Amino acid sequence: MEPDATGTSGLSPRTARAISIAGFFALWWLASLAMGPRLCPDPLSVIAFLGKETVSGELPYHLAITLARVAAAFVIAMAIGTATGLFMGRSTAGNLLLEPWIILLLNAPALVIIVLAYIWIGLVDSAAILAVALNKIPNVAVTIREGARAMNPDYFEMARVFRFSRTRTLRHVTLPQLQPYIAAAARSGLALIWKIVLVVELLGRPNGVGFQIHLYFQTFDVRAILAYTIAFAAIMLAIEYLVVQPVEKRAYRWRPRPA
Amino acid sequence: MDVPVSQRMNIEGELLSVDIAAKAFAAASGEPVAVLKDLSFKLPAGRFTCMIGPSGCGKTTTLGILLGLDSDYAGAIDPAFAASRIGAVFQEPRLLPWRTVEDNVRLALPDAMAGRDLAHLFDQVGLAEFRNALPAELSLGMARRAALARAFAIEPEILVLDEPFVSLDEATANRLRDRLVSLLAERPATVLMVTHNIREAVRLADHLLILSDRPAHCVEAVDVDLAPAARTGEPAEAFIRELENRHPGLVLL
Repeated sequence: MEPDATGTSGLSPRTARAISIAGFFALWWLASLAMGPRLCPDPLSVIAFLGKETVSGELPYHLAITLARVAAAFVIAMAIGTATGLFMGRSTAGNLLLEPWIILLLNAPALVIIVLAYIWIGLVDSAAILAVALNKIPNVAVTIREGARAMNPDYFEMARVFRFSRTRTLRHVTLPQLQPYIAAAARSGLALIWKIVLVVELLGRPNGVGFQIHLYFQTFDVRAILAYTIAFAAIMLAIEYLVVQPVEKRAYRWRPRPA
Repeated sequence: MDVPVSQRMNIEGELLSVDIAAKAFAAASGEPVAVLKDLSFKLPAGRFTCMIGPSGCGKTTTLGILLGLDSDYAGAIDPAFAASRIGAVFQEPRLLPWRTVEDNVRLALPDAMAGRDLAHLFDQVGLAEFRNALPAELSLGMARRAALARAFAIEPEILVLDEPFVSLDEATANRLRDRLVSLLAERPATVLMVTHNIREAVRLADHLLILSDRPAHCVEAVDVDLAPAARTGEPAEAFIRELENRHPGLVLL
């Protein structure tokens, strides 16, 4: 993940990215030739379908609903997971108390959590979002716990001597040290969450990309399935390049760069 | 003793007492290792005290107790330590690497001083041009000056310095010592500095505390009655030789 590796190879990040994406479409096109349009429609027909569904408003509607669920589950999982991980990393008793729960949740199959959430809460959005967040919270907590354990006690001593308030310590001493761990948890979190959101939609929601894919699976419409997948993947790529990476760059400004 | 504890360290003649009966650490084997034993001394208020002793004898541990970072010890320290504003300069500068020099200093300010003008202070430590620099861009000497600025910015009543001039070349260390002297001339405080450099101690201090090997106790407290001009050169050397004769092995040249 080093977009600035220019100079030695003579390849600009933009060109490298373009080559990579072109390669993907070329491979797809070859596959469509080999398998035929029913099993693997070619890129152009999928893009045409994508255009039609966008104009009709069908695709943006389902996409927006899925993205809203992803966003809600992501925010909840990051907030609760970070707080839990920090508590576990800083307190031995906290770690002993919570560790069995974390191990249980880490190993509980996503499907079990989703089904139980629907049974206990009902076939509603809150159950769907909770089920997704519960799947992600333990991963976030474990990552942040490692970060909390790696924090430098010298800075906290300094903060105590100069009588930093709790919020000042959290904002200027704790969070900057956790930042790389939060970034790692966020990046792997986004990927995991959107995968699980589709499953949750397939199992118990009447809308969203997961519901649509399920629908088109029943009618064996591979073109539609690919169109929805492409649309979603494009948005995730855009989030990675337009949000995640710029935010990371900004957060690491203070690091000394090799001369 | 009718004076509020928070004001005592500014009053000439007041003494801040420290009595640490015992302080131990658990070794890797689980056995407790005594670091301090019957360490007791008095800090004269408003004066500069240096604590010297062999390395590893527990000087930094003592500072940790006085700074309120370590409450796991037997004994009692003057309530003035908890009640007053304490500025500290650690052995490592301990600047937050993700904040600029100025932000590092400002973050240490109590709310009542927030927003105060720091231009004069940065001038005094020679960092006026580096207020917006990040700690990684500073040399060790500059980082030490930034740490000194942070300690003085809060207008400390008590100033604690843990070997603030080690691992600097002698010329840089001397310039830094001069800056400390001029900062203190403008803003006096009760100072406790740890060092194992006897020449540095004699040059700066009004009062010396000589510590024993581990477990440390105070073997002698001595006033340095030398005029500023006599603090380097032959008069200082004579004073140091006499100390060394009295405490061979503890006062190293």
